[in-house]
Amino acid sequence: MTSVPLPDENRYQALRLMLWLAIASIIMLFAALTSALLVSKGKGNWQLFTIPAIFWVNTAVILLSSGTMVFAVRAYKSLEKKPYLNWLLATTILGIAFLIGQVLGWQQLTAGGIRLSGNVSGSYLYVISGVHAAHVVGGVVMLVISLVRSWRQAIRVERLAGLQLLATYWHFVDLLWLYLIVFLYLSVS
Amino acid sequence: MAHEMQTAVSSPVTDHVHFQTVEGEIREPEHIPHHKENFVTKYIFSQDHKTIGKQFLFTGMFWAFVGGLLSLIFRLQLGYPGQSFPILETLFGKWAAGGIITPEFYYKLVTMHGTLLVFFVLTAGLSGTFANLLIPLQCGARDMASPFLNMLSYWFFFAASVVMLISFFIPDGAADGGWTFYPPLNGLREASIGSRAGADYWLIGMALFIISSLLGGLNYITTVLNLRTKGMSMNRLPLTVWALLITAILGLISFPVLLGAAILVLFDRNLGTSFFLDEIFIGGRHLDQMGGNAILYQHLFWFLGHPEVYIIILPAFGLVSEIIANNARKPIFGYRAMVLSMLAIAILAFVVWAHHMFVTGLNPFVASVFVFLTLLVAVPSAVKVFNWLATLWQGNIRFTPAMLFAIGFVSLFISGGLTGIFLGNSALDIPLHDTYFVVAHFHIVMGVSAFFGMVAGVYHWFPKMFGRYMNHTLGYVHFWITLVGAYLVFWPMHYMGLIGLPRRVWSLDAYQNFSMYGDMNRFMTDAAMLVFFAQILFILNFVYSIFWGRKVTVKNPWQSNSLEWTTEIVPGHGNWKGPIPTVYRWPYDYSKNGDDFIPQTEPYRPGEEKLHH
Repeated sequence: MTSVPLPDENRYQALRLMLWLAIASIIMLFAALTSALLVSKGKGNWQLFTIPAIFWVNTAVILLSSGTMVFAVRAYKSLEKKPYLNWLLATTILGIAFLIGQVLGWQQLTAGGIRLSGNVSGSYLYVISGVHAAHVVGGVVMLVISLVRSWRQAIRVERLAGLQLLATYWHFVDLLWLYLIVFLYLSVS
Repeated sequence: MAHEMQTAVSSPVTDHVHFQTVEGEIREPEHIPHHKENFVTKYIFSQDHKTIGKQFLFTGMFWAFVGGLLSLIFRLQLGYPGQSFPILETLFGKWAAGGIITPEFYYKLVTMHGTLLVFFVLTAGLSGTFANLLIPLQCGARDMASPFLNMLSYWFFFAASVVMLISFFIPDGAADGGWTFYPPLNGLREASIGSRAGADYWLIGMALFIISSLLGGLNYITTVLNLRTKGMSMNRLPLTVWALLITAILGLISFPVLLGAAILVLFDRNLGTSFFLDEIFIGGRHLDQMGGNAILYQHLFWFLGHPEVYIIILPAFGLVSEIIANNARKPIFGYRAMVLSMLAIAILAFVVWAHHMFVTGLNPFVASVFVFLTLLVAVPSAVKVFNWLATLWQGNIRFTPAMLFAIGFVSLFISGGLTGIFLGNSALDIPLHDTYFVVAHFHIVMGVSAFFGMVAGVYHWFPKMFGRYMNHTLGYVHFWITLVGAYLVFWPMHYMGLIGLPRRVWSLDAYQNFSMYGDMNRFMTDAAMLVFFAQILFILNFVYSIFWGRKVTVKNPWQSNSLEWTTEIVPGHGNWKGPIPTVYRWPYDYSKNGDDFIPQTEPYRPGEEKLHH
């Protein structure tokens, strides 16, 4: 099938598959962590606490960033560079805001007596949201790279597929967070 | 099929000289003059899947040597307890004071032997080598889907190797809590000497290893699914590719779970959390960490750990199937059954993990469900064994060293598989679990078997890798010593285990009733040394043959059907000088209609019966 230079469509088909496989393995990582939480909870000695409100604000922020990402892809499709850059910038800023918000959330938790080394219910919240944040950091780094690149270069239809891959990943970490916050809320509150 | 149609659509723009990877660079095959490849990009940071495969092989062989050596050192203690070997003190200092290895050192040796052999040799060394070498060559691709990620995969493995190697030389030494790394022994810095810095090195090394394995797996799966040449439908794939594909899928699903467990242990060790720790006293002091669950770690570990043993054995299945069909000059018996049984084994891999945990106080009803599922594995395994034997039956067998090792594999897989039926049964496993019976079982069915598959693969594909043959006479010597020796080392362990000889014990003469096995232990240690020296013979043969072996003068030295033998004797980056060949048939048309072999690239002849697609 590759006896010819891979046409763009094939190239991105392969990269898309690779991204979905990577997503599958990330899902397995969080399936492991969240099922571990359930096992620990079942053992008893499980302290309930209120999740600080800022985590819900963050949830709104990252959901919003998925929306701005959709508009960024749309603008790219219609080859409008300025709106595209604005939407992508908005997504990046929201992504960074989410990360800062998570750090503030951890600080509030600690201030409220839920320490990382305290009861295991709190530890799970720190570790699960921390591992998720690491995946958001990866997404933000890619957003910044594509922002800098797009700033310098003209919009080209061939690059759309690359942007779509980034968008897929970004929506994934967004949905993943939605699952995690609901799961954590039901488990610790 | 859809991908074939796309090929047909895009073929008018064919430019066979340049080719493109999914990363979008245009590359040139090597025969083009002024090719821009310097020493570093060709041999070190290479993106050529064949070079990366060799890098995995060299690194894997290095670790096999080190891991084997570690086992010899602890076998000395088991075979000659109390006897002083001054050379050990010279080499290892305080760890072998007075020429006798200390219990702490013994546990480090056992832990690192297991870790290195399971992960660094039989996972990275086996899958890494042959998935890289064979997937693009046998599927008909210029390279992996992403050569760059593929290169990263090797370098993450290299980094993992460096971290593990450094841990041997730090003051407190490497990890010593077993390759399964159970907490609380490994979850607390105070638990043992090896649980200080050594355990952190172990965790970081394994995290790097898991990343390497995942990056590799992404590429292997994508390449098989997206980059096959025209005509190479899934049911024309060589069984090697099927095996490596299923292996990669298993790894992709199970390794992240181990990563999750490793993260939690890292937190327990260094940040005061208590995921796996509860009610622990050390030195009379009650630890603050409360409420954790050590058994939870075992669930997480074995959810990876069981698929892991299939990650080790499946590539060997594939290599052996290919080598047996080729050297028996017969079509593989039951191609579809071979594929389906591998798929069945892969699915069962995820629902049997608790059979490693029958002695943890598992509810007997739950245990019986896991017994049932575990014993089901015997069905596809038996199908495979039957098919290998049926392929050999009345074949016109060529006893090359690769073929001998493949047949040896079948023998070992049967021997070790049968004891799996004992251990899969919870009623038998509970008394046997902590004995040498388990050591005998997994070394034969997984360790030595997979090693035989790997060595068979090296002998068979050596001409493709280096354009030279390995020395056959040395190969025969290597085979017979290894096969006989491996049985001599591991067979007696069954007897010892059945009467209850405990594993993981530094000195067996601490138990009066086991002193009767003193002679047998000495015999096994001697046999182990013999086997190890045969492997040195293999390494010498390997290195010598790379430089001075008999040169390969024909493209297809084994008269094989699969695509890798249609390339130049030593293919450059891009694999085929001209266009990638089109495939018309499955790879197992041996001895058909009076032809010894019919390569996959040969179209069906008029009137030829299509036995297989």
